[in-house]
Amino acid sequence: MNKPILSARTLTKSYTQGTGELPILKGVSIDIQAGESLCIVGASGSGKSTLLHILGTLDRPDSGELYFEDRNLSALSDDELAQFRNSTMGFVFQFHHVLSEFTAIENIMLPARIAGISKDQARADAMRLLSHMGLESRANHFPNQLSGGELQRVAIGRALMRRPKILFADEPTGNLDSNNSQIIQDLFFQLKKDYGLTLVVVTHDQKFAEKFSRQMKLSDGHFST
Amino acid sequence: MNLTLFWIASRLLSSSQRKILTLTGWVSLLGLVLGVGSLVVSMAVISGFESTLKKSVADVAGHVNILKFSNEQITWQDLVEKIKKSDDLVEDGVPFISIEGVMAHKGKLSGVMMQGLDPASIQKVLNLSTRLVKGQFQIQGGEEPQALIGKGIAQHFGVNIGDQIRIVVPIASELEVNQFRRRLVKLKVAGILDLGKFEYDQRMIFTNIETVQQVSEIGAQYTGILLKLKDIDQARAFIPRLEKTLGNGYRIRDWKSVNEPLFEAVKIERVVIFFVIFVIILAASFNVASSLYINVVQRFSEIAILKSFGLSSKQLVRMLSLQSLVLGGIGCGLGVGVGVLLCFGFSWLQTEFGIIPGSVYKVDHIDIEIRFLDVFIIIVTTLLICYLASLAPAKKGARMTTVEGLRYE
Repeated sequence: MNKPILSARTLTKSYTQGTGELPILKGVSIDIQAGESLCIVGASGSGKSTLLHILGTLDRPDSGELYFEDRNLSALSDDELAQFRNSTMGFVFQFHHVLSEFTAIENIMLPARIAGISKDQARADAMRLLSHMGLESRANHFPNQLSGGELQRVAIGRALMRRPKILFADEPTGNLDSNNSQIIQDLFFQLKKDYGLTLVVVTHDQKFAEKFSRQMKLSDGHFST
Repeated sequence: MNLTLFWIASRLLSSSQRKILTLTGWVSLLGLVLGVGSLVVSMAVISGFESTLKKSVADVAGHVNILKFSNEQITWQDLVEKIKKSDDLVEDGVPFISIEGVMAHKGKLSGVMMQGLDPASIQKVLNLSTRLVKGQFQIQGGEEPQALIGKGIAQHFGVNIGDQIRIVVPIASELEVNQFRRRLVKLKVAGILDLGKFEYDQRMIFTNIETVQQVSEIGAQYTGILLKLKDIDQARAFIPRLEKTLGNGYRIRDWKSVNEPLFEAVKIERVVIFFVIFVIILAASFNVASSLYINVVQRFSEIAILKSFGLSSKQLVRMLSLQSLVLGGIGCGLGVGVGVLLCFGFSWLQTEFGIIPGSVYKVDHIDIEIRFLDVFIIIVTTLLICYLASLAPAKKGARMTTVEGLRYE
C-alpha cells in the first residue's frame, strides 16, 4: 500500500457546554491515500464537520496528531498552517461563502493573490477554471447576479485555484436543488479526474456518498465501517 | 503582497450593494473630514496671523532696530557702512528719528508717532511702498513736507490725499529740565498706507528725516538705524555679532523681540489649538475604528473564508489596518479639501465684511497661509491615530478562529 497523503492519529476534540465538556471526537484515526475519494457520513452532530475541519487544519484537535505525507502539521504555527492550506488544500462549504464585493473571477483569484501571484497570472488561471466550469460568461458578474448553483461552482473554482492536492468539501450540495446538486456532484468527480485530486467530502446525501471509492461512517466519536 | 492586501481591504470596505461605504462608515468618515478640515483652517489662520504680523513688522520696522545712545559723532551713512562691512548678512540700513506728537485735525486729537526717514534709502530697507493704498509714495522735505499716514489715522481724522495735517511736538527745554516747548509741524498727506498692524495704522506717520530733525531741533542727529538682512530668520543670531561690532551705546533688537509677547502668544496658541482640535480627530478616528469593529464582526464568515484559503493572521491585521488607513486617507484628503475651501471662505468673508476687529486682534486682515508642514503633520498624525485605533478590531479579527467564523453564516 502507498504511503498516505494525510494521516490522522487518535484525534480527540470536545466542546465546552455549560459547565461540562461535550466530547465530539474520541480518538479518531484515519489514513487517506493520494488520489482516493473519501466520503465521511454520519448522523447530525456526529462530528463529521469537526473532523473535516481538523483534517483540513482549520481547527486544532485537543489531542492526537495530523501528518501530511511526512510532515507533522500539529507542530506548525497558525500562520504556517495558513500558508500550507493556501498551497495544498482547497475547501468547499455548504454555504458558498463567495465574497459579495468581488466578481466571480476576482473571488477565484483571491487565494492566488494572497499567495503573492501576479494579477495577470491569477486572472489567466482563474479564467481557465471558470471556463472549465462553464462560467466564462459570468466572469465579471457579482455574486448577487449569480444563481446558487453558479455560486457553488465559483466556490469550487476558488478552492482549486492553487491546484491543491486535497479538496475538502462539507455538505457541498446541502443547500442546492436536486438539479444543481447533480451538476455539482458530477463536477466534483470530473475535477478529481482532471486535476488528480484527493477528495474528502462530508455529506448526508446517500446517493452522492455511494459514488465515492471509500465511505467512512462516524458515530459516537468513532469510525464504524 | 501589500498591494493585494490593499486591493482586498479597499474592496471589503464597500457594502454588498456596491455602495462605496456603509452608512456607519460614512458618518464616522464625516467626523474625520470635519476634524481634519477644522485643524487645517485653524493652523492656516494661526500661520497667516503669524506671517501677517511678521511681514507687517518687517515692512514697517525693518529686520533689526538699532537705537543709538552713544555720543559718538558718526554720521548715519558711516554707521550703516560700518555695519554692512562687518557682516555679509546685512543688506542695507536706513536712519530714522521717532518722536511722539499729538495730531489735531477737524476738532479731533490723537497721539501719533512721527517717524522721519531718509527718502533715498527707505525703499532699500522698508517695504512700505507696497503698502500704499492711496496717493503717492513720497516723503519730500522742504517748505511743504510730505507725509505718509496709516489708514487708521486717515479714517479717524477723515484725512485725504493733499490735505494738510498739523502735529504738535514737545521739545525738551534746555533751561528748565521739567519743562517743554511745543512746536507745530504742518505736513501734506502724500499717501495712505495699510501697515498691516492695527497699532501702526492708528499711530504711524512717516515723513522726511530732515523735517523731523528741524522740528525737534537736533541738527543731524538721529534716533537709530533700521536694518534689512538678507535672511530675516537669522536676525536673532546676528544680534550678538552686531553688538560686538558696535560696542556699548547701542540698543539692538530684532523684529521679533520688538513684538516678543505677541509672537510668543501666537506660538503657544498654535500648540494649544492644535491639541484641542486634535481631540476631534482622535474621537473621529475611534469612530472609524468602531465602524471597522462592526465590519469585522459582521464579516466573520468572510474573514473565516479568507483564512481558510490561506490569509494569515498577520496579513489580516495588516489588511484591517489598511482599511483604517484607507478611510483615514480619504478622511484626510476630503478634510484638507474642506479646510482649503473654508480658508477661501474665510478670506472672502474678511475681505467683504471685515470680520476681524483690529483693535482686538492687532491685525484687521489675515493672509491665510496653508503651510505644507502643517498639513503634513495633520495628515501623518491622523493616519497614525487611525492605524493605532484599528489595532483593536484587527486583533479581534485575527483572534477569531476560522471554524467560529464559518458557523456565523
